[in-house]
Amino acid sequence: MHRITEFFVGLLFGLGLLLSGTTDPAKVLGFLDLFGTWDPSLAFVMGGAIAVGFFAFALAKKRTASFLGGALHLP
Amino acid sequence: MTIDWTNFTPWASLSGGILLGVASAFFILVNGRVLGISGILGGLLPPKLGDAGWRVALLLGMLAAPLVYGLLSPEGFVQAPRIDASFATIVAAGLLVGLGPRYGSGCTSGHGVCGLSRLSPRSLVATLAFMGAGFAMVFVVRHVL
Repeated sequence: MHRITEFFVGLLFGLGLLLSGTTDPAKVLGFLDLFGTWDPSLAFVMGGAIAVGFFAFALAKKRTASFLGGALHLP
Repeated sequence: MTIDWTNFTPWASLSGGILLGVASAFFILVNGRVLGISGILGGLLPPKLGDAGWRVALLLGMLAAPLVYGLLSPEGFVQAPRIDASFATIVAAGLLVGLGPRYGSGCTSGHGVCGLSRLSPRSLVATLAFMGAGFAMVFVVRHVL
């Protein structure tokens, strides 16, 4: 069960990277070129990820164990 | 500052970002771990007994992503990204990309997504540092040199 969920998380993360444009080096350079012709797209990646992650981590802080019953490894 | 409207992909990037957020949310809530890719990969070098399976499973999922994406996407399979640099430059860059997260205890996924999501001051400092360094480096390479 654990191995399946871990594989699924990796798959989902990889699909997110591909869809967002983060896997394209030219796209990354376009985002970092603030003083040239700037492509702000990648700001939307972090924005979208944090918008979801914020609620997940707020919920995780209130819990003592993960849904699968294991320890919550929060830094 | 001029905006590059021709390459601007707000919806694809936002959707992709939401997927990254969902993956991070799933991992902390279901598996109880922070989704920090560099740390997950780094923990395999060298692999430790009893601590390698979950890392390998997750990385295999990531490696399967381009295949699944190609099957689902109307545009078909993803083209391998082109990097205009010599082999030596790529090796040096890869080494730096590995060293940074090791010293900084995390990368864009661990600090930038998970750390900022849980409002960690340490992650905010790390994110500002690596993003700032990225902006500065591209500025120097493209507009100064």
